[in-house]
Amino acid sequence: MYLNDYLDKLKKNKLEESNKPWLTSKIISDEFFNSIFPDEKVEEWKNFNIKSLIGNKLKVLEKNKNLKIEKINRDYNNILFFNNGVFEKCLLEKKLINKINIYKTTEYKKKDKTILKKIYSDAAKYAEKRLSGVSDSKTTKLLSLNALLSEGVVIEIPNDTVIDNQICIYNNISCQNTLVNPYILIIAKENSKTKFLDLTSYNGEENWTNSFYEIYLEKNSNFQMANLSTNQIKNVNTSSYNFHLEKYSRLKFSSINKGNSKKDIRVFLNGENSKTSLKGMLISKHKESNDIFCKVTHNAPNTISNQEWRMLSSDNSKTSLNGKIKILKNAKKSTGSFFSKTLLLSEKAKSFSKPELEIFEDEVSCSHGASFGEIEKEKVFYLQSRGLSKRDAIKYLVLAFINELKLNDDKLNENILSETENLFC
Amino acid sequence: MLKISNLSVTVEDKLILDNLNLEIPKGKKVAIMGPNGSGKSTLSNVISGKFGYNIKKGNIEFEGKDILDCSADDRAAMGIYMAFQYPIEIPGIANSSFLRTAINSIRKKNNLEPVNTRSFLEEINNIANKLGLDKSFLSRDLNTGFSGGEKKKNEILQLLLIKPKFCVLDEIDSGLDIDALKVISKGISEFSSKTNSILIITHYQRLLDYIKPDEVHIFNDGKIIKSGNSDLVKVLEEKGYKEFC
Repeated sequence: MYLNDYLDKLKKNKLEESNKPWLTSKIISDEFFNSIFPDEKVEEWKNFNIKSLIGNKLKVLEKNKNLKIEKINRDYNNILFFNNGVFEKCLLEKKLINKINIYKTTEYKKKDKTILKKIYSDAAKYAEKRLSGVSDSKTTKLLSLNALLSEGVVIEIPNDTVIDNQICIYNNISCQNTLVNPYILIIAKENSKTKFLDLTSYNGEENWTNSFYEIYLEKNSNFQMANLSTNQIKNVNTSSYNFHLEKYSRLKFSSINKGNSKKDIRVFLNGENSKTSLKGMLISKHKESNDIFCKVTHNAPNTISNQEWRMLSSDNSKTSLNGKIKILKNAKKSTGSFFSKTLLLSEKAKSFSKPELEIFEDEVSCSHGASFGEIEKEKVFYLQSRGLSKRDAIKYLVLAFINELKLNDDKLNENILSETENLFC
Repeated sequence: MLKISNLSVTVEDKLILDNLNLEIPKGKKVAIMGPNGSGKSTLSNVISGKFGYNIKKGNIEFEGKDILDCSADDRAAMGIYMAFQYPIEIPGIANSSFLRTAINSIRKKNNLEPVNTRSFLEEINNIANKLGLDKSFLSRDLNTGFSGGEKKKNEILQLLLIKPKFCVLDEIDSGLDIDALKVISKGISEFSSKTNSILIITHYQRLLDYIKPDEVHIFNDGKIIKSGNSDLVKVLEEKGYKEFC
């Protein structure tokens, strides 16, 4: 079914009962049907025009439709396989079965009402708060769309569980011209320690993946997530990550963003002494647009956040980054930093970075900065004088620029190397 | 080995090298001394192929081949090396990785196989040791956070590793303390042989106390105004540049 037909049908029929209590007729209103896209005037979306990037004849995946599993790249281990946004329980590897629990959101709703109550406690405003922080329902549109079309899963990591090997959330996108809506809720229980690779592997073209991740880190949990996509060319990605940290929990998030991609990352440091490190690389080429909105909210004393970003724009492309550190009243002795560096590889390439601080408490420490530059001729000459060709010297300097970020993930580092090569093809 | 004939070079229409003639034979050490702004660094940059210089006339021959149309990397592959007055910092690239890339780039252009990793590491460790650099020096980012002395030592480390046929030492002694100067001079002496040539560009006598040049030229306004042997250095030290300029 085409997306437009689906929306027409939805408009005529009454909204079905949803597993997301906030998805009410108030949100799925006339405004939603007029346009499913966020308003470009809203801060988070002004650098990424999703409407212009996706085709008119976009299809939707209907619920419970059986999808053929076409390809699994066996370079990855400990796989949780999502086939075009739908979790394939039958492919769950045995070594993971006894360590983590996976539920459909409807099942989990029955199992643990408290967590869902916690998540959806303020149903009417939930979507607005989590997505924008401002009262603008337009920013909830993609979340609403996701919720309408995806059942979603809950991944629960039990108390005290320690898994040393990286778990791979393998999003296989094999359809064509389709809107795919992964929805994943992860609950890392107390004292757990896990590492995830969030991989989106595109085997189809002209798709739009609209993903939502809701991640809760309970007291003293330690959580790492590396985010990566492969073969993204000719596909568009919008994704939203919301991390909620309780006391003494730790989050390390690293990401490589390429192609036409928009990420909305929110971290809420709700518990005392919680800490996060966010690192990412934005790479754009041809006419691509690559955008990140990343906001960290310090909501408790002694919380720490560090953001470090690198942007690489080539050809006629654009990278953009809106970063915000918000320190609320009561978050005394908190520390936040945001830094970005951009390397422009062509005269027509564009980049935008806007670091912001919003501080409502004394006795805090915050720093932010953004820099932009081109390949320095002096450096190219130095390398040439040591035998590297001009082209290799420039490649080497790009690599140096990326290496400075020190992403501690082998898959991400491998991918960055091949992406750097691709920039020079 | 290197022959400069009637070379005139301008930068933004300003004449920097003025009809310069200079020959550096194989196995010889030639020193160029001159006051600030006399064109010494321009000469080293033009020899190594830096951008931004307009060659108005003349040529530079290296082993009989005119190199002015060759890129800096082609010149490096031919065996020309310049030790920079201000070595460039490149964060994000480990020194040892850079050294191997440099060596292999030159080898590739000369149709040679890449270096054997083990013997390469042994060699750089040996050289680093001779220059009084500890092992961590090789894993640090290229010239990033290095002291002035360490940067210059790294230039000499590269010289000893790359083993070029001809090298220009552009004020390698500037900013060095006495101990570092001794170490660096020792490194240059180790490199010097009958099969290679060295062009030493300096302001001061002190480096030439350790490395005795075969020829000394005093440079001013982009040309050689006085030539002699190493005794000229002493005269210059006593009387200063004013006597000659």
